[in-house]
Amino acid sequence: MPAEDKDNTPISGDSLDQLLSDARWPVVPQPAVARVAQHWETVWNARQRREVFLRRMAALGLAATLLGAVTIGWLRLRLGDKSIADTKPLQEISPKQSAPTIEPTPVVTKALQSNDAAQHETRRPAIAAHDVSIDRTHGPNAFTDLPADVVPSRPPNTLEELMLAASDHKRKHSPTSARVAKPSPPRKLGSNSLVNAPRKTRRKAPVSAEPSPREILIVSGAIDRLVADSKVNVVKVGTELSTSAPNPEKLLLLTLSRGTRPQQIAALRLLAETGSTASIGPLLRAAEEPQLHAASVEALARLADPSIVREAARLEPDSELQRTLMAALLARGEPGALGEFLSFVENDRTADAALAATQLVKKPPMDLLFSTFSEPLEAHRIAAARVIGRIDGASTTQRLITMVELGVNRHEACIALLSSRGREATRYVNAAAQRDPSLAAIFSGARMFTQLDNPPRS
Amino acid sequence: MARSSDQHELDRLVTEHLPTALRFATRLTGDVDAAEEILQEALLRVARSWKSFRREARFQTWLFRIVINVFRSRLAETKNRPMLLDGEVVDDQSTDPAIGAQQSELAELIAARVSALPARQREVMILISFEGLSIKETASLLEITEANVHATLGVARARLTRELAPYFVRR
Repeated sequence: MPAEDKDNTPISGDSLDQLLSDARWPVVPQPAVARVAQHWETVWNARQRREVFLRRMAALGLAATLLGAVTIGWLRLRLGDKSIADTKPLQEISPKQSAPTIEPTPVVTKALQSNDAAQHETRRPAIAAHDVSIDRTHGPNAFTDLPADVVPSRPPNTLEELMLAASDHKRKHSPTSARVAKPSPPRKLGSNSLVNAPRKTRRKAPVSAEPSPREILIVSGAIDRLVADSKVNVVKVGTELSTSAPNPEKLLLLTLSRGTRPQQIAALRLLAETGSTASIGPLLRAAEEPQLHAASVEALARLADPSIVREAARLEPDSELQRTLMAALLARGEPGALGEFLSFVENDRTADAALAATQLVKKPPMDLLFSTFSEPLEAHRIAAARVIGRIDGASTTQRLITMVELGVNRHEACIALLSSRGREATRYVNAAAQRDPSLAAIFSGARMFTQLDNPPRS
Repeated sequence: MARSSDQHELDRLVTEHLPTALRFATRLTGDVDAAEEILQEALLRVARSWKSFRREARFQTWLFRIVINVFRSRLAETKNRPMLLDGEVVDDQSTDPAIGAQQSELAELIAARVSALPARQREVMILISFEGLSIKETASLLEITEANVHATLGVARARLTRELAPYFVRR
């Protein structure tokens, strides 16, 4: 058949199907099928084993998770019980237990101790005492506990927010402070009566009750007395006010918000004597008034939490008031307040003011300062040594010399002696350095910490 | 049905359909070795994804779909080079050696032409003309519409008709 005819031949679908039915692919050999079957068996068995393994692992994981959760829960319960059990004895530790235990020879110790007490009292008559058994952590909120008619409903300003934040922060992080109980001898008013006045126990704000006409008369009388004569003994007036009127604070705060300037200043002075934590907020607001600033700051130094006093001191532009606030921290004789005070000593910018403030404190908490020598933070120990050295005093010098001789906190004691401006301390340092080369080396090393406060010794 | 019985059932079905699947793969590739490789990989996928098999579907369709997926993957890797038939043993049942040789040659040629079709046309042609699947089943397996299956089949047949025209005359 010619090629043209071939091309023109019609091809039906049936012809194609017939042709396709003849198609023959390579025959699949039996070994190939066997190989694939074997492959399937291997794959399938491995998969089943894997699934079984995964199921077991999941079960194990679940069991481990449950076991872990149960263990953690049990441990937390146990630790919780333990911590509760452990905290109780800690709270019962008296401050004396945390003081450093110096073990000198009996003869020397007795002589020094008696000498120390005698000389200290001779040099600095005890005109102030500190009642420091305060529970600030559970004190009421300064704003929420205020009487409704006294507290204006406005948000706190920047300063207040800062101080409240600092207060909250401090409350969260401060450890339970050991309390130093001191006797309360009769007070004398001095030039720094504010600093050395007994620390007011932080009281909860009294339950608001309507003041009687008699109370109003008593409070207004006290205010009038202070307005008439600014040199009147405010402590005495405050004591009389507290005994005769059960709740003078509300009326004093009312006077602070509505009275004349002299009456407001008088109210502030009386609040410093009779106020509670409820007065902190109004005092902070009053501190923004230039004419009430000094009186407010002095009252805050008495009533406010150490962290608020610290912030007030940090922000205080007036150097005298700043020193007063710093001195108030030192005078409180509490570990927390002392920590705030030492932070000023550690700071180069405020160290001079803080060390100068030590001179405003009539009876500094020496035992507490010495106990700081045992703290782990070196900066705290050195700051405490510088403060002790600046406070000086014959008995303190003797105590420091004993510590150096016995090798108890020798480094800190050397810093304190070098910081001291007393002649006895200077004499001892020079003699000891000549006598003992190792002490000379310690004094030499310690001198770098004291160069900021004292000029080099001859 | 419990999981273990499902597994046994699957094992049985795979074993039963292995020769069919291997034959299908051979038709797709035109080569037994390549078909074996494809099927081995397909079986791995079966073992991995056997839970996705719905019992209402035909197992053969499901298995073929996996084979086609592997085949497409391989094709993409090898840039679609159709494997031409070589001198493998063929299923030649002819008695006359001369005629048998001639017929065997033609049968191989036809198979080679089918296996040389473009991938989609090849799949449709083999599934419908050689594996006996319906248009609907093929559409479902290839995840295309039935109209598309019809069109693709028409194109494939036209191509084969054109390529195999001389043999119509010879026959």
